[in-house]
Amino acid sequence: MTHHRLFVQDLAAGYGDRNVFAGLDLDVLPAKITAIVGANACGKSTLLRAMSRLLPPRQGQVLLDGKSIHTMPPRKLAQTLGLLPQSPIAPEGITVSDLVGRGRHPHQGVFSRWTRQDDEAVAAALQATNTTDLAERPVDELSGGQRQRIWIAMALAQQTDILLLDEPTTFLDIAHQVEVLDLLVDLNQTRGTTIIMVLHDLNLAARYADHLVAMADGRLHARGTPGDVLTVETVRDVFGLESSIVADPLSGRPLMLPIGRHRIKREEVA
Amino acid sequence: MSDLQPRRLAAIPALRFHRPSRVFWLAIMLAALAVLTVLSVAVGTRDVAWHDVFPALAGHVESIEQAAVAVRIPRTLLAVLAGAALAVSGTVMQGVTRNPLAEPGILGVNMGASLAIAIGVAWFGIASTQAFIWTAIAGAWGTAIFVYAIGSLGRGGATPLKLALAGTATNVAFVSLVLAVLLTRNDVAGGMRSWQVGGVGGATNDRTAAILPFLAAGFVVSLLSARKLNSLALGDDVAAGLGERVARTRVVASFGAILLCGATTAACGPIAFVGLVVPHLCRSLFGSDYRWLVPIGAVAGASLLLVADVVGRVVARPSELDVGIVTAFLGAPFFVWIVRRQRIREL
Repeated sequence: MTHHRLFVQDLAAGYGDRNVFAGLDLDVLPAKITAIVGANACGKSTLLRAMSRLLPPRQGQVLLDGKSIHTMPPRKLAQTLGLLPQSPIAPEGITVSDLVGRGRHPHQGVFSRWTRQDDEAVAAALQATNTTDLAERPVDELSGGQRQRIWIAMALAQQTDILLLDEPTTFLDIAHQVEVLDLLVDLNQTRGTTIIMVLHDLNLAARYADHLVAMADGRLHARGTPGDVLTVETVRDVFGLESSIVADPLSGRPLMLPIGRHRIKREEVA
Repeated sequence: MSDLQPRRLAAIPALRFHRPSRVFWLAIMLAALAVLTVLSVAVGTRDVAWHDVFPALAGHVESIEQAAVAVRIPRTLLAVLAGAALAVSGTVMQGVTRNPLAEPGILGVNMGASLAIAIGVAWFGIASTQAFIWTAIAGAWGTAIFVYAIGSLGRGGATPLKLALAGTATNVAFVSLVLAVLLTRNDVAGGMRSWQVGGVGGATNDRTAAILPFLAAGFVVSLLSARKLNSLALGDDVAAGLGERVARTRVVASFGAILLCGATTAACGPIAFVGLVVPHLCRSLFGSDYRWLVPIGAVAGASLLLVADVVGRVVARPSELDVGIVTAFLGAPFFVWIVRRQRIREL
C-alpha cells in the first residue's frame, strides 16, 4: 500500500496583519506519527490549521502528493486528509452513531444514499474506538473521555489516509489521555494512517510519536526522533525551562523532568 | 484491516439511522395536516354544514354556505404554503447560524421585507404581485445581511443572544419605520394595515400562484442544503475538514431561506414565530438531521399555520383575528421558554 505524502513548502500563515510563521518547510513522514510541540502561541496550532486548509496560506503551499491542497476540490481532499479540530460542536440530542456517520460526508454526493460501505465504515470506527456499546446513546450524556473517542471515531469513519489532530488530549484526565493516544497508535499500526498532532505534554509526545517537531517563535526549532529532539538544550530553547532528561524506564524513550525553583535536591541537578 | 469485516455489523443493531419513531411521527403529522386542511375549509366565522362543504370543494357555489367555503379554499392553500415556507426558512436559518433563536421573524427579516414593500407602495407606487415579491425578497436579503453584520460586531462573533438582540432591535426599529412611511401616505395606509399584521384572510389563488415558483425554488435549495447543514452543525472547522465550503454553503442556504420568507411576507405580511416553534418541536421528535428536519418542518409548519388561522377565525366571532396575532400569542411564551432554558447552547 502506498501512502499519501503531505509536504509543507515555504509556508507563511497568520492572522490579521501578523504572520505567525513564514518560510516554513516540513516533510511529513508517511505512515508515521508526528507530534508538534512547543510553548503556548509558538504557532503550532496555526501550522496545523494551515496544513488542513482551515487557514489560507500567505505564501508557499501545502502539497498532497505534489498537488496544492488549496486548489483541489475540498471534498476530494477530505477523502484523503481528515481533521479533528480543538473544539468541535455536538448538536443537541445527536446520537453517537449519527455523529460518527457524519464523518462519511465527503464520501457521499447530494443524491447518494447511505450505503453498506458507509455502515461498515461507521461500525469499524466504533469498533476501533471501543464505543460500539454507546452507538445509540445521545452524545450529551457522555463523559469527556468518551466524547473525545466519539470525535475520533467520526474522523476514522472519514477513512482518510492522513489524520490531523489539534490537541486531542486537552481537557482529558491522564487515563483518558493515554487511552486516546493508544488508540491513535492502534490506528497507525493497523491501517498505516499518517498522524500529525499538536500535543501539549512533551513526555506523552516523546512516548507516543515517531517523529517530534519542536516549534519556537514561528520557526521549526528541531525535528527528528524523540531521542534527537527531546534534549536539555531543546527544552531550554523552546520552553525557556531548565530540565533534566532521563530514559523512561518503561519505554526507553526520553523523559523530561522540569527543574523549577523549589523541591529539588540540589545534588541531583549539579 | 481486520476490523473492517462486515460481520461485526451484527453487533450494532440500530446502525441504519432509521428510527421507527420517525416514520410513526411523520405519519401522524401528515394525518394531522389532512384533518386540519378539511377543518380549515369547514370552520369559520360562518357555520357551514358538512353537506355544503363537499359540494363546495367540488367547485359548486350554489348557496351562501358553499360560497363561504369556496372563499376558504384559497386561504387554506396559502396558509399551508406560508406555514411550510416559514418553518423551513426558520429551520435553515437555525442551521446556517447554529443559533436556536434564529427565525425570519426574530431576526427581523420578515419585517425588513415589509419595510421594503411599505416603501415601495408609499413612494414608488408598486402594485403588481411580482413587484411585491421582488421588493420583499430584496428587503429580506438586505435585512439579513444588516442584522448578521450588527450581531457579529464585538467579541465572540455572532453569538445566539447577540444575533437575536440585533434582530429584535432591527425588528422594532423597522416596525416604527413602516408606520412612519405609511403615515406619509394616508391613502394607502388603510390597505396596508391588515397586511402589516400578517394574515392569510385576503388570499387569492392568483397571488398564491405568483409566489409558488419562489417557494418551490426556496424549498429545493433548502433540501439540497440539508446535508451540508448537518456538517455545519459540527462547527465550521469540522465542516471544513469534512470537505464543505463553509462560506458558500452559508450563502446558498441563506438564499433559500430568504426566498421562502421573503415571498411569504409578500403574500401574507410578516408572520413571526412559526419558524422558531416548528424546528424546535421537530428537533425534539426527529433528532438533529436536517435531511429530516427540512421536509418534516414543512409539514409541521403548514399544520401550525392552519391551526393558528382556524383559531383566529373562531375566537373572535363574528370578526377574525389575523393569523400573525395568533402565532405571536403562541410563539412569544415559547421564545421565553427557549431563552430561559439552562443555557442557550449553539446548535
